[in-house]
Amino acid sequence: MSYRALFDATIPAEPPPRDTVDALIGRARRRLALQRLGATAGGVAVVVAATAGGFAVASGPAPSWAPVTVAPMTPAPTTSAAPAPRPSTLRGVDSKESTAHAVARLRSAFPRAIRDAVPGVHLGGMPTVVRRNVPATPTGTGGTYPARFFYDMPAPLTVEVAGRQGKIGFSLHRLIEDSFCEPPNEDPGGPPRATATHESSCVETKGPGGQRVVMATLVGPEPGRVVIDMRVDQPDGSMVNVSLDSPTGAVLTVEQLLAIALNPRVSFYP
Amino acid sequence: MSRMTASDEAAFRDYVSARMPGWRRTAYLMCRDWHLADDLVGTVLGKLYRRWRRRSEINDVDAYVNGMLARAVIDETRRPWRREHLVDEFPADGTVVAADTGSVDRLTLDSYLARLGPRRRAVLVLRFYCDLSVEETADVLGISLGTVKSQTARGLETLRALSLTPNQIRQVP
Repeated sequence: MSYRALFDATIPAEPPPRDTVDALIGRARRRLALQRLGATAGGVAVVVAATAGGFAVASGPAPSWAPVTVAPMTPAPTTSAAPAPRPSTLRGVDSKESTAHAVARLRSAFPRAIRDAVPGVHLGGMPTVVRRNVPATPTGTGGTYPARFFYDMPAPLTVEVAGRQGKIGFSLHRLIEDSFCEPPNEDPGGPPRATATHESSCVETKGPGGQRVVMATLVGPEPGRVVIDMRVDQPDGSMVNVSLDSPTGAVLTVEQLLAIALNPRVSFYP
Repeated sequence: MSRMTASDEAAFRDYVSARMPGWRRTAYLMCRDWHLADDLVGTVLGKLYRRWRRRSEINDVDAYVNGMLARAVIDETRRPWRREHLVDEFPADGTVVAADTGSVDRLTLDSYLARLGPRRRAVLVLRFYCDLSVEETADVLGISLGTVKSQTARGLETLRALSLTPNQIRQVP
């Protein structure tokens, strides 16, 4: 008997894969597109322009909170803005909470926040929450972002409202700088992305308590899909990131997503 | 980050579709948890997607993916809430020295793998399930050749013993 056959003999009956290959590829593609939208620190000043945002992709009542700045994420001329110096210290304070406690707390907090914001919602199980460590990284402007950690869901949670399904995920971070809409260029000073295959937009606004709210919306690249990536900077120095991947016409409204992100249970600190 | 063309994505889909069942089994062997295996395969697939347009820079994409899987498993098991309580050395009374001594009755490969640390388990899976060489295994795990050899030695002894007693492989100890 070969060694490989010996190993095969130890593998019990395989359950069906949780995701299809197409679903995994779609997720990888959207993640990459969202990274390009500026979920990470970049270093270019926010473009302030009075252009309509991407709220039209979400159904439900129009948002009651007016955007204060809008950064259009369509191909744009080459920018010459120099990277602005950004702070290299963590906001907030060290959390005394154990990882096991935080994981258990957030595993129950997130579903409750969804149910609070969306009556009648059906959830596809309990979320998995993990702590991810980030090593110290250079800021690109001579400073260093210190080592830090954040809480994350490795796989999104299925939400179903009135027969429509979407995937929702969240992560909680300590801020190293304010969230902002990154300009559409992949590299500061680089050429514009003239061959975008999807429509996207990003809006910076304020929450009801004055929190900084940044919402990036990506339509496509698959037909009929929309991804909303919302970041809320909390006064305690933390940031809540909620993302929803759903069919166009949205399973949740923008207000519901914001309510989930603002739920006090969904907090970096206990 | 370069943008994927339609042909790149089609090639990526073909590559992944052909290998996904094998990746799941490899991940399961390393972490022994189907749910976590699916998580890790999804994570690795996302990383590979980002690098796909530059895959020509990778010597052996299959070995590269297996290495990413192994590192993902090891990283995951380092997390405090997932940490396994393991012994560094296999107890002497569990050692298999020969197939005809009867000692193998108390041991299956499954129970043997369960008692190994995640790194040693990854070494065995990469070497004997994924057919990576000692050099390739050392390279993808970022450890020395000597470490791979020493971590392989006891496993190889066990595998040899078990391979001679096929009727006892599935026996639950």
